[in-house]
Amino acid sequence: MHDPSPAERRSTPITESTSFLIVARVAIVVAVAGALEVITRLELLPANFVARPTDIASRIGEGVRSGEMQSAVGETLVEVLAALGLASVIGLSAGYVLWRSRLLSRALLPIVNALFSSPIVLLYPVSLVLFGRTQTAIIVQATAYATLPIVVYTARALAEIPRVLQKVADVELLTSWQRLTKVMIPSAAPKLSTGVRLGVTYIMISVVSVEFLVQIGGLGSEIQLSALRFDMPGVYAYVLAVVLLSALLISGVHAIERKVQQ
Amino acid sequence: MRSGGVRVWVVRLGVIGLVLCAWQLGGGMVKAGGEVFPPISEILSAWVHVVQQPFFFSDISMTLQEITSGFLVGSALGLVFGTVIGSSRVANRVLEPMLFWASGVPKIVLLPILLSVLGAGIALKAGHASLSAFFPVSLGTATAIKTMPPIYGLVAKTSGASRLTTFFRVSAPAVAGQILTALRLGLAVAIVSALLAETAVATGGLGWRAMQYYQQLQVPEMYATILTVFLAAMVINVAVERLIQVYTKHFEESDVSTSAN
Repeated sequence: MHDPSPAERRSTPITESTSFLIVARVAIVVAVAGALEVITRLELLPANFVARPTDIASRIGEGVRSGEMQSAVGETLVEVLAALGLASVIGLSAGYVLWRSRLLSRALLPIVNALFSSPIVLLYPVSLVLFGRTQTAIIVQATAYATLPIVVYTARALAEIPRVLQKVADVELLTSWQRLTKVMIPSAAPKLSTGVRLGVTYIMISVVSVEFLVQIGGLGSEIQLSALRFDMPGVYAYVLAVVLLSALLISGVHAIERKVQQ
Repeated sequence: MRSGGVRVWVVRLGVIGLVLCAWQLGGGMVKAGGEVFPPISEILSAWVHVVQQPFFFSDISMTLQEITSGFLVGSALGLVFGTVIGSSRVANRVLEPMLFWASGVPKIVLLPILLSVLGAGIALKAGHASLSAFFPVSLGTATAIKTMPPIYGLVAKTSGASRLTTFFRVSAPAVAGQILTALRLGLAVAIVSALLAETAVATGGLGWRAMQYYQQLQVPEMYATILTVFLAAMVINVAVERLIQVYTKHFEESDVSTSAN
């Protein structure tokens, strides 16, 4: 392996390194938390608007010790993963069918696109009536919401596979399974994963929103209950948990995408 | 080509017709189905009843105010923030992923915090909508500026263009298409956010009205109101998308005619 010379090392700015990025982000978070701690201790902002970071940290600790935090995260995670699984299966299959049939694609993709940007989440009372105030209602609602971007991006991703790759697969006499796993999926992976990542975002929005509005359980419900108890550190603690869960899931999708492309 | 276009419309209308027929028959035949999915004919007659209510247009007006003000504030802040992080490589590498993670958080969970600051009036829903619109607009703007070919700026500089000229005649047109797309997405999420916030805390607006009908077990009226929302959202999105296409096409054509001259 070639060791970079001092000149080469100097030519790569420190701002390009991963460690710089991590340090910079941690520094920003610490700086913001520090500023908020000072602002709240000096009472420059009302306590019902911003909670002290130390109170938030202490509330997180309490939640973890009592098991409430893990229970809420667990409930939300189960709903998110179940909805993601269902939405991926339905969305990828439907996207594949639309790609295979040009007529269906031209006829139905504009409708799917239009529904994509419609406020489907408003239909949550229908799910509640059909499935009761249960996790099933949340999962069904989130699945319906997230399937649409997955369908759209799957159809687009498959349509954009270079023809030359398909011709190479023909020349190499690949079976359908080999064609799918060795040519189509790796080639379409970036756009497929964009659709799945968008699906994850929509699922998080749908799951946590319905939990918040209907208080069935999970992180959304804990946020609403903390707000009703005027427990602002609790509100922020559970909001942070939502942020971390969202970041974790999106990173997971990134990691799967990189693995598929190798 | 023409027969292809006809076939597309036949399939499209056929699928829509099938869904509506299944709904009409299913809602009518099964009692429990009728409570959850009232027949289309009932929803349509409920819709006629809903639009004749004295509060219908005031609900629309309130929702439109929330969406418009929320979108304008959120997208203005998003454009500024996106420009800052798109223009600096370091700021982009540090902040863009954090912005992306934050964008995945459902903004509805910040409603208790917004409530304590903005109160329970229109400002709350507008604030919620602006928070939602901010993220796609800032991310889209940052991407547009970051991916603008640097050669454009170099050519403008070589030609002696001033900073202002470079901005208005080179940079802005180059990124306008992508930014308009980001604004369209911001508008779509502002619409959903305002309506969702109305279902939680409101005294008027289309989202609130739909929940009122649901709580009073007026299911056909609930669907009629939601149908109004869906149709309006679709019309707005399609209109904005067409405007973007017209603008982008006009810009490309004027670009071609300028270089031809």
